[in-house]
Amino acid sequence: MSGFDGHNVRFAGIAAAVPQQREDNAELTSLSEKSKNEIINQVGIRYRHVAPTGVTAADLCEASAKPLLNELGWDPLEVGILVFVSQTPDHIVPGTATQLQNKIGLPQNSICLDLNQGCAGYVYGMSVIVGMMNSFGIQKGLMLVGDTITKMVSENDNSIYPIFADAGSATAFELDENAPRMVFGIGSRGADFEAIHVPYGGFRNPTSEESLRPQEVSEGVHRNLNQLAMNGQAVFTFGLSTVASEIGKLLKETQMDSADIDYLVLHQANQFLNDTIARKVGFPKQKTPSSLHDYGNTSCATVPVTMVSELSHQLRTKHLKLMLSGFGVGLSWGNVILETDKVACLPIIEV
Amino acid sequence: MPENSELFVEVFRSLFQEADGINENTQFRQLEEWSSMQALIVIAAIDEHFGVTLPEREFREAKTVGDLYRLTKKG
Repeated sequence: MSGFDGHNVRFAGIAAAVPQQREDNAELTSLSEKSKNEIINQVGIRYRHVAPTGVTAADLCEASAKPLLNELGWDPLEVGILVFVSQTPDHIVPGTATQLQNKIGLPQNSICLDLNQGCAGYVYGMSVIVGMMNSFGIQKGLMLVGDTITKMVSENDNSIYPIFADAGSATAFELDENAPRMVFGIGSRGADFEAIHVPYGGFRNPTSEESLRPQEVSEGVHRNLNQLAMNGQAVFTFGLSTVASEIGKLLKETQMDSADIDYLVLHQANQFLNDTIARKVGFPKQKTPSSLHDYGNTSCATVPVTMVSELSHQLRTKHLKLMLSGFGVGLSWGNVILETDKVACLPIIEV
Repeated sequence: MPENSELFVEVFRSLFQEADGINENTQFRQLEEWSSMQALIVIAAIDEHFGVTLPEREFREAKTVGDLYRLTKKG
């Protein structure tokens, strides 16, 4: 489905949190100088915040949500819906949203929902919470989006270890009949699900002794079948063709072009890919902020992390028209054009 | 789509520092500068110059610069 509108819901505020512990790709001894150069200068990733054992995506989201509610002056008891978007939940059963309801202090009659989405998850989640708030007349909503992907990546996988990092975020929405519409363009290409996936450990392929045995996939790439595997080239091609054309399609449907949009916030996976997509859809570099250098690829959290780390001043002081574009695992994409007007936005929180 | 293979080879060569000797028969994966990042640079340049996004599976099977040129004609 593509091109549907969200009505009567205002983007009220945003916060994001990362673990304090940080790794520097320049210090990775497992990489050749050439690979290191490519990762830092072309993929664009220097630093990665990595959650220690015991810190989960839910913790990073909770650390974002509490100060955000405080900044907005909202009582948690007023929040009627909580959507938690993540691929790294606290438990297999139950979902994590209900525990976050309890930790943040939402009322028991709030709707709590887990959504398994990655790179496109911020926009996917937004379409769900905005749609439900508008349909059911829910006054206040909280979307928590975060991942600790580093916990499912092999330390000995040079193809993806230097790329992924951890982060969580919280975004607040409020029912407001004067809110400008949000226009979503969302979709998935499920046939390519294997481009980014963890083959074992679910119920299709349960964990076994064999699946936990490390294997050499290629030179410098060692992992087991319970760890994340990514076909970077397939994802790159997906970004270059499908994502770029879907961004163009949404602009066309709304009769806008890059001149009408203040910022295009792209999923942060690869600076070279983002520069290429931006050029293809006609956005100059200064309109496509990047947080890759300092925060890496934080999965579903890259869009909110980039908004908070790169656009915080503008979000707090101006009226903005934004286009957000998440894409990747699924393979899925989620694009949205929305307006923000002097919203609450806290500096990046370190946990 | 590139009009001829010369034009295609020219674009391909522009992406490498050591371009001397790169021609249609060059096995590009054997080049000193080849890497997974260089593969993305080649895919993006073909997309930008000729308007063809090479499918990942077919790209993986291509061996020579000429193979890539023929893929762009197929698309």
